[in-house]
Amino acid sequence: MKKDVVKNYSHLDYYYFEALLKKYDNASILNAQGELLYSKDTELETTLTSRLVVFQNVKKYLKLMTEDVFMTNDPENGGYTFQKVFFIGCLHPNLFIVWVQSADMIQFKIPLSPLLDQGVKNAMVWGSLVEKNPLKNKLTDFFNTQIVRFKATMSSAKVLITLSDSSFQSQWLSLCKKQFEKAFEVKALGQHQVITSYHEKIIKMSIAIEEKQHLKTISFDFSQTQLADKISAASHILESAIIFEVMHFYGLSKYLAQPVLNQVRLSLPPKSVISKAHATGEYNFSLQALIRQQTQFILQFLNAHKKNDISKMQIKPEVYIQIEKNNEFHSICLHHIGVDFKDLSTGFKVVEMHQKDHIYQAKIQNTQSEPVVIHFKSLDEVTNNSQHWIKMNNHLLSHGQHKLRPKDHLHIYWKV
Amino acid sequence: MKRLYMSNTVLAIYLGETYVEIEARAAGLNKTMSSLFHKSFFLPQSSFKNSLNQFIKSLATTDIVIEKAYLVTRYLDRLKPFRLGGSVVQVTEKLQENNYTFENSKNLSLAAASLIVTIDEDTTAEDLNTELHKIKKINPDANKVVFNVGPHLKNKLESTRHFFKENGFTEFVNESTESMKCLRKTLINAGTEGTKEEIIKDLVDGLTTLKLQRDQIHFWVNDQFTTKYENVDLFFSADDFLTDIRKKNKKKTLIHTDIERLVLFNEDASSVWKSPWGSVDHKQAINHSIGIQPCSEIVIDQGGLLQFSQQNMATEPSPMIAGRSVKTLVIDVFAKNLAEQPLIVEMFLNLTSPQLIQKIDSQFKALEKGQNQNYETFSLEKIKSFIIQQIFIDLDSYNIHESNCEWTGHLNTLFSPQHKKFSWTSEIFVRVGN
Repeated sequence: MKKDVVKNYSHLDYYYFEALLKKYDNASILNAQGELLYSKDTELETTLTSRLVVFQNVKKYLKLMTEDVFMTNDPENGGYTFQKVFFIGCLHPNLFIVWVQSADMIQFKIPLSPLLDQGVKNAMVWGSLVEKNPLKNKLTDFFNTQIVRFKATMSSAKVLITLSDSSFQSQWLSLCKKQFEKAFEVKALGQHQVITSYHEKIIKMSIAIEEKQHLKTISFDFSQTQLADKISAASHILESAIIFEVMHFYGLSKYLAQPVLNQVRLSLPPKSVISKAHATGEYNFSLQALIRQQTQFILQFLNAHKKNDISKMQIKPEVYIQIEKNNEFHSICLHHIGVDFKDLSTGFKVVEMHQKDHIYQAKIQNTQSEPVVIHFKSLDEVTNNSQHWIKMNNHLLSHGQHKLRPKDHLHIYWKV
Repeated sequence: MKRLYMSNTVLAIYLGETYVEIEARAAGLNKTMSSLFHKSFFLPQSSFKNSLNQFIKSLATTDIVIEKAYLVTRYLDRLKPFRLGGSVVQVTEKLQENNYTFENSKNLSLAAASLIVTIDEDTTAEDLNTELHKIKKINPDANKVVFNVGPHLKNKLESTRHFFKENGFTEFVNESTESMKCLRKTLINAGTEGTKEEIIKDLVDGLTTLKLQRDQIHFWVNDQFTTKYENVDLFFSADDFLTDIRKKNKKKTLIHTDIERLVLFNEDASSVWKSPWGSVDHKQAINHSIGIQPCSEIVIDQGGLLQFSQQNMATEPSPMIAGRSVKTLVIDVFAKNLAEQPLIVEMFLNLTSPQLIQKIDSQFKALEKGQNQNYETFSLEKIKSFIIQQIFIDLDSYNIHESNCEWTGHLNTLFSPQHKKFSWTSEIFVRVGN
């Protein structure tokens, strides 16, 4: 197939980014100045701005060459949890990709390390990280898959030439800004705030959407949010959730680039519940869920015709359960709009599993001779009620790690 | 008039999601095969049954007996946007009702909740009669039953199966009750039974004068034509067939550009099908979507910008080239090129009409004027070059070498003129030795 440069098609140029990121779920494309050109994200466990933080960390200390790939999963340095590995690849001296891939079996910290040196596996890192690990086969599969994916991206020569071109980037960034201004004009201006609590810590979020001297901004202010003690999440974790919701609300997901990002301003008090990184990212899921719901609520409130109808925010339940058994992981995600189970047919006895009138009930028993680890992340305040609860041997589960001993039962009751 | 040997007529059919291609070949006196009929029909304009009627009418002689009919199909893809199981009874154990829905509650439903019958050790014939009475009140047409009962209720299962058989139900048994993927497969088999039977009935009834029997109808499944298959296999009949073309031609990649879809097959395969109804155990070649799909609608968004919808509008409203819609689909961009292809013109009879071509041109001009003039606007020619470019951009990422690539589908010569014109039925005849 011919290797010429592709043409410029104005607003449809986002198709180039989509084509490039077809094989990724969570990824960003950036230029050498660190400007975001395009972002692709999933709604849950969003890593949108976390990827930008990781990229800045890499750029600060390292000079990336074409076909270099670095990786990390450190929640205290831009990461999310150990299970989410961030990969930073150089596609061209003026084009970079940062993508995130989940690997449930990774329960340890990977400091910033090279995976590929100009397209060649870094033998030292591979030897210490993969070869010596008891989960060698699984890790080999995981990292090889990422390498194949990156190399396939590198083979999109026509698109890479176009996207790395400075004048193309400049036109694209202007277009994204224009799109933001257009979208901004059709939504309401105003201010509103909500106060919620998480594990008895007050989180106060104010949003101001305003236009001053032709400058259109969406500002988030978390002043008066309480200081963190044991429970907290890094600011980029919350920023990711906020930006995702704002872009979704304004219909700008395809045009999320640096000029758009610059119009969303966040003010987060240092060392607070929503700005202090947690060593393992334990509370990232729950705090993102809470902040996401707060953002959704305020944006909807400001744009509602009849404000009385939605004057009070009600937090909706969201739960993430990870069941670990002999390095096999089963994830269950329960949301107010749906449930998402992975197959639990091995190692457990499914005593009951039925759904009627959108009420999902499951009771599973550990049939093995060893305990099974249940990792439970939730907004506790709203998951222990008559419509949503998770019990272990008839006791309500709370956020944290639990052991499901042999013959113990895990019981889920969830209304969608 | 040709004099034909009665026993040597073979029918090849591609029954797609939106069109059907039919060809009949018969052996002449010198044993060379001659084509008696070869035509394509666009299904939203002509039902499968009507297409078969036209085939019968066009035959020069009625002195024909169809020896066998070979089908490659994508017809069941029509069911993908819908819930299944409206006439399927599900017999299951207590506390296991609708367990298949736990994987992802956003998946489409596979069984009507009101048609679930739960059984245990104490279930009696009287209980079953009561349940059947209720079912018939809810849906008098319910005539299929799925059994999802573990081995500990073996005796009860046997008597329940007997009961439903006596009452005229077609049964589907889930052999692995612990696997939701297997249960979903069984439910899909039951839920699609009506559509499969509709295809077979249309064939047998439509070709009744040619004395075609049920057991002479073969579908392409995996790597052969067969009469032994599960309904779920028919979702992959066309993909399996294209994979066979790729393998037989010893190519690493097959690009398939057709009026229904643009896809690429390489050596990627999966043992799990991520169906619209949830994950299902099924080995299959993975088809990678390339470019913008031909049945995407070209729309202008709220901001006045041209966009391509994600929905497949193949059957409703169907493209403008079919002459019955005022909505523009991607395939309409190629109207003038398609008008030069006889097989496509057979499908879209109005394509040669200058009025239709003019109407399509006017539609694109209206689309261009309707776009936000503060942005770059897109004419028909510009849309066309963008669409073609997207295909080649996607192909680029698969690292394809032209020498190791087969290109099929009725649009193949449009994008790659050096390839020979594609015909499903010719490929079918290659595989049945004619």
